[in-house]
Amino acid sequence: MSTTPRPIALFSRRHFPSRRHVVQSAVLLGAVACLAAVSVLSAADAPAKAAKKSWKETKSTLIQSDFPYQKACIGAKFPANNKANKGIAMILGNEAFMCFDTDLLRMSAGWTSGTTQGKGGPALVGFISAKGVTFDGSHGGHPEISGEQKFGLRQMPGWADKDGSFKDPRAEPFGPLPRTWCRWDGMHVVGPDLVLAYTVHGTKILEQPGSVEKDGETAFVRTFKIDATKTALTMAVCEVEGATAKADGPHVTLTAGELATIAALGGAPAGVTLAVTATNRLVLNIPAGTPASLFKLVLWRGAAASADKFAALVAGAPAMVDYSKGGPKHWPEPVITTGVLASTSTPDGAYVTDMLTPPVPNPWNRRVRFGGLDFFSDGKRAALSTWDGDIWIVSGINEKLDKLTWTRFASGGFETLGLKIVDDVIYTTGRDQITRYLDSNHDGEADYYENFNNEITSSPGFHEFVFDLHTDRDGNFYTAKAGPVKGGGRGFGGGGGNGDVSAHAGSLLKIDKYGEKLTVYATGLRAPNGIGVSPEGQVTTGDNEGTWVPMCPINWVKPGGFHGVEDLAHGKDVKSFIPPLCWLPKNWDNSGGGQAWVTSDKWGPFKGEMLHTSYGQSSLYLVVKEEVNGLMQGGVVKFPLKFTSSAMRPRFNPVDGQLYNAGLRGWQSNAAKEGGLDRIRYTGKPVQMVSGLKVTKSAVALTFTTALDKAAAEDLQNYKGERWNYKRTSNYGSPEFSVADPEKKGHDKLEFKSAKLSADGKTVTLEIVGLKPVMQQSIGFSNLKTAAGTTLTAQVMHTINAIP
Amino acid sequence: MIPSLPTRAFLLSLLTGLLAVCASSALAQAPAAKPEPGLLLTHTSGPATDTAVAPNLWLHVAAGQSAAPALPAGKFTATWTGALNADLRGDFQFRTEVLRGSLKLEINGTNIIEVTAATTADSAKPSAPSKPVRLSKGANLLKATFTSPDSGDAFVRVQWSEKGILWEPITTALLTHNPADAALAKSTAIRAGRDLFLEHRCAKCHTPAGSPALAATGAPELAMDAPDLADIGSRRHYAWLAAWILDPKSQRAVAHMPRTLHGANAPADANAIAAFLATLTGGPAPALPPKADAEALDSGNKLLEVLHCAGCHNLPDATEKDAKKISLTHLNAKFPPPHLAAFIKNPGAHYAWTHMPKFPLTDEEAHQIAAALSSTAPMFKQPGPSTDPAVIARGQHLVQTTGCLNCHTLKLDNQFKAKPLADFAATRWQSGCLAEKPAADSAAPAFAFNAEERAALQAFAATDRGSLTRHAPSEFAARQAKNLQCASCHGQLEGFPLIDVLGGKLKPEWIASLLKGEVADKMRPWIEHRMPAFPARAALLAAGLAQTHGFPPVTPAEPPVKMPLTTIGKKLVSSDGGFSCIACHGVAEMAPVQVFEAPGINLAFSGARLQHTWFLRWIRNPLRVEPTTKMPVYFDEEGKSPLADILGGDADQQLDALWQYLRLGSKMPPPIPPQ
Repeated sequence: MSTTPRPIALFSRRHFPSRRHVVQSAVLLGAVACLAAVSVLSAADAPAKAAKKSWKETKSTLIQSDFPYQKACIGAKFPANNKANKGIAMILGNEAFMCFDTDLLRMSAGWTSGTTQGKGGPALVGFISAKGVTFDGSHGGHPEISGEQKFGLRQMPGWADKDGSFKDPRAEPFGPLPRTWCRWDGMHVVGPDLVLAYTVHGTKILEQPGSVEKDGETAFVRTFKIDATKTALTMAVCEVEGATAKADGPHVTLTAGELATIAALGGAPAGVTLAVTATNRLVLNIPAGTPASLFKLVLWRGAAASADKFAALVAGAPAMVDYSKGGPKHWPEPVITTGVLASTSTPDGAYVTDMLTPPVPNPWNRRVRFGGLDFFSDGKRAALSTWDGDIWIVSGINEKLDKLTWTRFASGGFETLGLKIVDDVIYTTGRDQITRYLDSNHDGEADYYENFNNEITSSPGFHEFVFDLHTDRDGNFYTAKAGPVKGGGRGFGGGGGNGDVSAHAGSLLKIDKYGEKLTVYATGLRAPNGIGVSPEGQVTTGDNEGTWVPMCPINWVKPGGFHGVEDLAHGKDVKSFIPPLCWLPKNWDNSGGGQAWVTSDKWGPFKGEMLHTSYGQSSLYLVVKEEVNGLMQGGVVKFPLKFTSSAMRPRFNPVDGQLYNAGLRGWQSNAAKEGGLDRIRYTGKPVQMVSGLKVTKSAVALTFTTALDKAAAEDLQNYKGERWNYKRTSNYGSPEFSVADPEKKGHDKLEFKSAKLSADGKTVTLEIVGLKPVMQQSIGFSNLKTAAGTTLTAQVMHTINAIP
Repeated sequence: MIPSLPTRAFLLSLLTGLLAVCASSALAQAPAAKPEPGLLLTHTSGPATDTAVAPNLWLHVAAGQSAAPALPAGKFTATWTGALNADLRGDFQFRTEVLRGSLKLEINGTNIIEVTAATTADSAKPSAPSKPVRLSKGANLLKATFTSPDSGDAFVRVQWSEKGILWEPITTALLTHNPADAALAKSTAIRAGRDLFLEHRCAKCHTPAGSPALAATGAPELAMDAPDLADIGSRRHYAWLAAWILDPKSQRAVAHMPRTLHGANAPADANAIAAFLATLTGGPAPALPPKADAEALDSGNKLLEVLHCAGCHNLPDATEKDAKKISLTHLNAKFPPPHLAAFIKNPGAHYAWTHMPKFPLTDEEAHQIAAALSSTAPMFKQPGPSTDPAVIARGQHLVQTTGCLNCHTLKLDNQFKAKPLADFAATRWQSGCLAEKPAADSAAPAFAFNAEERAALQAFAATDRGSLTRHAPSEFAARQAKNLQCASCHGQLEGFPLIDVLGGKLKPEWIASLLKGEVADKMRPWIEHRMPAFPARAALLAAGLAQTHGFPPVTPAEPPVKMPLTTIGKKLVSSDGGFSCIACHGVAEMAPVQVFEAPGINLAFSGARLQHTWFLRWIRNPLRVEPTTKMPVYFDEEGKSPLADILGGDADQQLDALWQYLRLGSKMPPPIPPQ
């Protein structure tokens, strides 16, 4: 493929022809503004230079300008603290933008591009800034509207309750309004246009956000298509601080100083009116019994002296784009890559990695950092979501991987770090919701982004990642929400860019198969970048070392269980918790990824076993486990393979029966690349590995996949071991402490008394002096021999919660 | 590491062991004892021999230097013996990383490598790897013999590798020796005696042959000063001076100054000397401290923690007193208030070789510390000195005639003379200053040496004392690291590199700048503690630490920076196709992008700070170097880079590109963070 990214302008011309034209006229206006500004500042030649480019070209490439929206927590300039925790920042054409808040169903702000004083002089800025962990990588903060804000509505319900009150009924200012009140349904994407779909008191409402420009003035247009109303509906449009209101025929004007905010309806049925309440709030009233109708609300703010230009902006009949057949493709070009077979191998040759080369570079300059992976039923195609909010579909998954075709399926998501395919329909998890994607015109791109369930809470914290998406055998979905870790790594919440501890912070969440209800399944998680669900429905998670997490665990989740992190959603002062199946030291896993269960009988001798990945160490592990006294315990053995990026989302392909892993690199990872997808393929060669671990009264028994040579297996010279403990505190992680001297940092060496090989040659029982419960024990061996004569060197890392 | 001045208890046990060995005439076979870290290192040159404990198979003796103080400069052999304790049976290869001289390495009695000058074309390049040798789990006997070249620098660093890919120094923690070795006991006693002789400034009175020029070429401690007495009357209280002069050890158990006044007149004499010293006023008057309000005291107390003063001192309000630490309860008795702050700010102003570190402090901070200490130390009534001219004159006379001025400088005629060192045969080292019980009428200064110390001094006396004329940098570094208590911070405080690794990690030039107090930037700004300066010792200590690790005292010049590679190096540290080093590390003016509980040192310092070989090891596998580091391991066990598309994925070339980029230092163009 070409290594030169296609300029964005080409795409814009083809798909947004009318907008391109308008953008340029707006640029000219910008030039005039700049001239004025610069003539005051200096006589430099900056103006022409600065005005040459639209915000699209001058602003960073981290926020795409060729797709109509980007979801994120979006901050506005007014009113104070106006953040849309689940915001959709929308590009409306005419250099105009609005942000819709899907928790509160309010339009939080409208703005146009404007000038800012940059290093090279005044520069045109628009849309949203690239601030935040997903975009410029900064810890703390989130995108802010960029340009000149024209209207705003504070954090309040966008639609009134049944009694006409806008009082926020939520226990905390996070999460959606009650379902009995209203519901965010989803969004149609039709080329450059969007149609928002939601329900208020049983009335279906479709809203197309747009803009209009005439004679140098730009207004925001909200076109509504509503069903017949059963109850009266009231929508808050905006609030203008310190304004005096005046109704002048069909126009409602709020004047504050030199600025006038004017709104009017177009094509509204009888009874649908605009009004101003005593708090300088502009509202839209739709009486009960209003028939199904299509109308528009036009909103403008400008110099009071230019108010006479408003009437022209309202002219014309309301119209809504036809969303029923989807729209033109946004990304017609596929990206073709070639895979690399057997890029790495285990020493026994039984497992190799095949790299499925990611679509980098691509014509849209998109970063490809995979956060979700699943397969379609044909096994030849997979869908992958990215941190930046895209979904890619890769086809051509076969033995050779010689032609992988990558196409973009969807975009604009809010940190979509989990993906699941059910009945060949894609679902993603993100900060705002579980989204179901529909492609009604079957052109290979989503055109309806449906809200499957958005009950999850989200505050402005940068670290509130929502990780991974799985289903159980009954079709229920599971996803995990991280705690709002503070910038720097210690502690949680506290407001601002660090966010707040909201109801679901640090929880494992379960959503029924219909998306009707979200429940907290378990608590006490910190940053579990990856979960797993066994075929029987056992849920597992990893986690990340940090506050209350002394070292990375593998959690065997109990419904309703508390897994250790205090200070999060479950409440405070919980001093006991469910010990994890095992802990893993830093050099094994400093930040856990997801788990997978071997469901395939084409993947060597491990069918039914559990696998764990390490995001931090980009490693794949077999989990060896047992239940003792009602508690799970065990450890891991490494598959010594390497991956293109981190190991994070292991999934089995239902057709070829092989394991695939997708991963990304954020921070605290040794991943080589920003994103990667690899197949972990069983070659059919004999596997030489530890496959089981059992703790007895005085020994640890290791079971191997192959029979061992007795002499080498029973020679204590070939074994080494250490053990140590951690301390669970509010500090970040824990040092390693001696077991014999609990205050002393360091490890204690294990003293082996004997090694006995079982009759079948597959199990070595290592008698250990003073065996006792311990958080971390490592047993290493080298120079063991298989019956066939090859040598075996490896290490097992495990935890003993209880001695049987 | 070369043995540092042993604790008295340890010395006692050694001597007891030695005596027991002598008594049983079993000198040949040292009794088995619990192995201790490090290897025995025996230097031999002609008949001269010396045994010490060394951390690893490292050595650097510059041309003209002695390998050990006991040996004359010139050709020598160095033999390391001990055990290499493998934690698992395994196959390892060995090689010399650098070698000038010849080396023979034996493990479990088998020759592993034998490299001579003839077989090493380039002393700065590694030798051919040995054949894999199988090590048993547990102790494997190790013996290495180095023979110096006929002239020039002598050096060696040995490495091992399990797979022949990643070469590194033999893990120091796996090397042990038998501490009950008879030769070690003998050398240790002599070394301890020599150290006592130097630390107590014995040579200031009993001058060795060749003095005073010797101070420049022999043991550096011969040049050590003592507090000068200029303006002492302004800087210290009279009553404390009197008490100190009368019996220093009553004021400070570890005082080096002897008691010089004896008999019934001693208290009056001490008062007279102090009265004379009290007349020595003047000098720049330090600013009076601002009134210490609660906030200042809080700041001062915080600084006491930040500077880890309790690492060496028993603070005035300490509930537990450590006998080895200097108590600070006497502060109000000793210091007129503004002078305490002045001393804290610049302890070396009147005493260059003071053990007290010089911390970077503002005047305000020094006052805050002084106020905090003073507020918890008891107050003393300060009686005035006698103003009787006769008393003062007697005090001056005593200063001139009792040896004070042999150590302390003052513009006054010194009328005290002692016999030169050569006049004291070993047999005479049991009387006078060194008498177990001084005679009632003895005028000799009383040091109150205990039995072990006297035994050590006698062991030293029995040598030809030529060691005083020789400077062995590694041993100097070990002595000073011990005396300055470097390990009180580097070994105890969270996030501090261990003192034991610094000589192999940091360039000696950098260590010297740091110890001189010339490095204004804080390497680890996230650590509140501050690195102090020890200006008088800086250069010698830095060179000695490097040589302990087998590095030259002066880092050889590198060829000019390969500019084209720096661009690739920049890409390698970026998050755009590189390792994303900038997540945790700043680059010159650019702050790190995503510091998350793992802040890293600004990369602009690396080129000037780090030994190149250490940099290579660290980047290849930081966890092998520092098991608790949060720095990720990027290169795999085969040494391969995960970035296949830069420089063809060649790890060596990538590391070179990184290094060239780092060498640009403050001129490193920062990589563009994501935008």
